[in-house]
Amino acid sequence: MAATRIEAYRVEADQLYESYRSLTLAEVKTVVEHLREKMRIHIVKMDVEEMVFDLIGADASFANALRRILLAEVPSMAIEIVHVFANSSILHDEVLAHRLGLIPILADPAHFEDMLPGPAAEANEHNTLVFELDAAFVLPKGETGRQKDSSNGINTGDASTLKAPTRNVYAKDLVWRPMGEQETRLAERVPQVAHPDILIAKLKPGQRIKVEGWCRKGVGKDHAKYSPVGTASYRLLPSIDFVEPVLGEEADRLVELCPMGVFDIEDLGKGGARGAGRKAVVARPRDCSMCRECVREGPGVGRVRLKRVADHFIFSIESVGTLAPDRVLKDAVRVLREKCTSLLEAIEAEGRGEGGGGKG
Amino acid sequence: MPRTKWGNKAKRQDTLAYPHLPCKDKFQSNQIRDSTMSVNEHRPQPAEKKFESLEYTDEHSRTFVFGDEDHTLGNSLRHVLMGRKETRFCGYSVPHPSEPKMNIRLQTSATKPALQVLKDGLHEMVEICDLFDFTLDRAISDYEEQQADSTDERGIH
Repeated sequence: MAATRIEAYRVEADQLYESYRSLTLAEVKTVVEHLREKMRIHIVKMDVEEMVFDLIGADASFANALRRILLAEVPSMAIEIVHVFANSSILHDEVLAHRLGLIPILADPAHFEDMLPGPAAEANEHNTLVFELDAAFVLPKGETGRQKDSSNGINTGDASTLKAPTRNVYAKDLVWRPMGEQETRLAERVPQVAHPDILIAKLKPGQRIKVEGWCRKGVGKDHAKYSPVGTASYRLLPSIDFVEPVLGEEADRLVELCPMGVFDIEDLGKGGARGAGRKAVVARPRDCSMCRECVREGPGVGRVRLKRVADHFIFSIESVGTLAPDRVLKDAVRVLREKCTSLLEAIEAEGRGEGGGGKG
Repeated sequence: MPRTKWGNKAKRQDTLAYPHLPCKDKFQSNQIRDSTMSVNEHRPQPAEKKFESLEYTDEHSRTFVFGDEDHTLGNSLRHVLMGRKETRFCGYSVPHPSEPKMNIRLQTSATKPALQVLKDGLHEMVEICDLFDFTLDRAISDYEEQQADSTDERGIH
């Protein structure tokens, strides 16, 4: 009785097994029991910038929670406040400040405390990193700037067009200034910009930028500059099979038809000349982009079946260069865990405050 | 360094939100102005309540309101709660995207009150996170081992 009623409310996506309907209530496994048996992680590629892994056996809701946290809720450091002491460059102060904010800062957010928003927040050595930028383009007296020498980042310009020279200001011009005991505390990993060659501004002779950027810990949902990943996404593993075999010349045409090179020819070794004994096989289903070219027309129509494996996620994480992708992923799991534990505490607090919300 | 045009902009602003500016003493010259600018002025207000259980007569059917939560926890928690055998119905909604609120509707069988099932579900989510973390660690060490093996092989050939 109870079993049938529960079944009626369950949507298809929540059925953990294909044989779910045949199970009695006592046999129903919780999600974590199911994951203990079925969840597999296989890393396809991992380096300091990018990570691709297969998450097998998990539900889309969990994969999506991870993806959302990776993008928006894993903390990282970025310039939040910019003190402008001089800015005679063509960039307005606010544009310059915004550009500085977007520069990835190589600093471990675990070494810093959160800083509460608002005027009451006190910047100190535990929550703020200070970077200085002082760049001026000063030409020696009498120089027009159109020298042959192009050292010191000075672009000499093109003499034939008589363009005025410019000096580029790069991210590497940001210099970390340790505050308090930061010098000893952060000695192991000295804070710096992750990519030194990001162009911040261009200066004409006589222009100067002198600013101080204060970095803080933040999360991507506050501002995208805090997001530790460039992209974090997943797709389902394509599953391609044949309803009936594609043979001979048709197999060759099918192989040619696929722009991603998913199919290969298998020689059946019999049938002799002119490809009579040849058969198309699925060799690289991961490369499939689901373009449907193989089922649109030609030999594949009605024979090739394009599907996706519903619980096989190909997850890819691309870091902006401040935190390694595996570290970001571990942080994301920790964030999700903390969400749950802090909610459990909030439930307990609410229960105490109002005399228990339905204990039984 | 010769004096150049930037000195003409000597407009000192007294809107210093951070009077303890660490390098204040370094810039006494009135040639240099000092204005504080936040890259990110707008911040959404946090929710008033982190958790609320809307009261109904029956303790087996409840709507829980979570402050500062969204689809991230909503959908995954809903999935976990669906897998529990006491659950008869579970659904979640985010009533408005600019309100930091997420609702979970949970109806349970007579064996357990809804709040208890919710707590069990949250504990289960914690377990899932630990399981994922453990599986990930193992996958990373497998991968590193495999990489080390393949570089060894390359070294020999």
